[in-house]
Amino acid sequence: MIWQDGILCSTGKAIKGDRMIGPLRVWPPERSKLAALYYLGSGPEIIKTDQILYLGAASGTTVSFIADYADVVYAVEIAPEPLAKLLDVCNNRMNILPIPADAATPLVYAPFVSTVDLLYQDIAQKEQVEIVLNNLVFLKSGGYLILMLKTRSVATQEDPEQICSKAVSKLQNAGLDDIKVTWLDRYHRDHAAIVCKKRDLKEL
Amino acid sequence: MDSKQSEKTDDLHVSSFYWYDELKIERDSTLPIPTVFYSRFIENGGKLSILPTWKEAVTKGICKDKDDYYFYLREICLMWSRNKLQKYNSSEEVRLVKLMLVLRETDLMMSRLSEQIINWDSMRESDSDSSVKQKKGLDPIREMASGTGNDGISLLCRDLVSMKGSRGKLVRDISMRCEKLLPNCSNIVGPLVAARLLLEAGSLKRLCRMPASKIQVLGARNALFSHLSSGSPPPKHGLIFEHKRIHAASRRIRGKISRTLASNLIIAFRIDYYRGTIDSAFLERAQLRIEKAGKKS
Repeated sequence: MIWQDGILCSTGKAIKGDRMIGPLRVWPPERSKLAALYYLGSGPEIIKTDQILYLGAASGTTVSFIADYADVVYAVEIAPEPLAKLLDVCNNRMNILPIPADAATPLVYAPFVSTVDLLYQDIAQKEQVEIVLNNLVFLKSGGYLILMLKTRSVATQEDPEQICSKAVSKLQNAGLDDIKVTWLDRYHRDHAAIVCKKRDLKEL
Repeated sequence: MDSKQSEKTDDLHVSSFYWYDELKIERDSTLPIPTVFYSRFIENGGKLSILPTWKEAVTKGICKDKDDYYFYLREICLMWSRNKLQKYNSSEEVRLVKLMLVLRETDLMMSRLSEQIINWDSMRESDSDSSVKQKKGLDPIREMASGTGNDGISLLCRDLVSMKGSRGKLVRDISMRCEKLLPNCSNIVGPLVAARLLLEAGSLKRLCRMPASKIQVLGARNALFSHLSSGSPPPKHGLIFEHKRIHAASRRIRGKISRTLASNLIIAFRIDYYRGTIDSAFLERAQLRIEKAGKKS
C-alpha cells in the first residue's frame, strides 16, 4: 500500500473527479469502504501479482483503485446502470474484467474466473454471507476474504453487533480462519469489514 | 451450508469447458477470438465451466502468453457486458419507466415552483385581494404570464405555462408507449395509471408476481405501513383510485370495487407480460365484473 503523508494513494491513470497528490491518486475512505478498512489499519496488503474477484463492483470506484495495485480484477456486477459506468472505468484499465452476472449464481461466470488470491465482496443484500460462501470455490487455499457487511441490509431491526457475530459464525462453519472484524463506523455507518483467511489445505 | 458447498464444488469440477475450449479449430479463422467464442457461448446456452488457468490455454496453443490470454478474456467480458447493456437500453419497459421518472420529476418541480410563486404573489397584494382571486378560481400563474411584466417572476410564469404544454406532450408520449406495452391494462385503468403502477413496482416481471391485494394498495405506502405498525384503518386503494368507478363511488363501496378492479388488473398485467396482445373477450368480462362490483345483484 502506498501512503503519502498519512493519505492512502495509488498509482495509475486518474479518473474524472479524482483528487491528486502529484502523480498519485488519492483513495478516499469516505467513498470506498476498502480504503476505510486500510485507514483503520487491518486490511491485507494487495500486491502486484494478486488476482482478485470483486463481487458487487457497482460503478467501479473501488475497483479502479484495486486495479492500480493488483494484477487482474474480475469485477462482477449485475445492475445495468452501474455496469455502464464500470465499462467507462474499464476503458482506461486493461486489467479489469467486467462480468455482467449475478454474484448469487457463480456457475454463470465460473468459466471466466480463475482461482483468485483475494475475494472481496461488497453487496448490500440480505443474503450477503450466503452469496460469499457460494463464491468461496474461487478463492485459493490460504487466500484472503474481505466481506463488507452492511448490517442494515441484513436486518433493519436487529442489533448490528448480533448480525455481525452471526455472520462470523457462518464463516467459521464454512472453514475460514483468522476472522477479524473491523467496524467502519467512522466513515460508513453500521458497516463491518470482516477479513478472514481460507484454511490452507496443505498445512493440515 | 457446508454440505451444500461441497456438493457445488464437485458439481463445478465435473464439467470441464473453459471459455477457450472448442476454439482450437477456429484459431486461424478470420474472425477474432472473442466473436467466435461469443457465438459459441450463446449456442451453448451460456453453459460453460470453472477455474481455468492461463497456463492451460497457453499449452493448448490458444494464446501466446498470459497477457494474450487476459486480453482475449477481457474482450469477451466487454462484449458480454455491452450486449447486456444494449439489451437493457433497448427494452421498451425500461424506457417507459425512465420516461415516468422524468414525468414525476417534472410534476414535482412544477408544483414546488408554482407554490412558491403564488406565495410571493399573495405577499405583494393585499390579503382580501388574493382570497377573492382564489374564490374566482383564477390561475395566478397564467394571469401573471399573460401580463406585460418583464421581471424574473413573470418570465418564470411564462416558462411554467409553456412547460405545462411540454408536460402534456410527454404524457401523450407515455400513453402511446404504454398502450403498446400494456394493451389490456391500459384498457382497464388507462395508460397513465398503468405506467404509474409499473413505476411503483419497478418492473413488469415483479408486477406480475404480485398478489392482487398488493396491486390494490400499490402507491399507498404510508397508509399501509401506518396500518401495519399502529393499527390505523387499512388503505382501500392506492394508485388505482384514479379509476372513475372508484373515485365516483360512495365511500362505503369503494373498497369492494377496488378489490374487484385489482383482481382483474393483475390478470390483465399477466396477459400483457406473457402474451402481449389484446384479449377482447377477457376485457369484456373484466369490464362487466368491475361494473357489477359493489352493486347488489
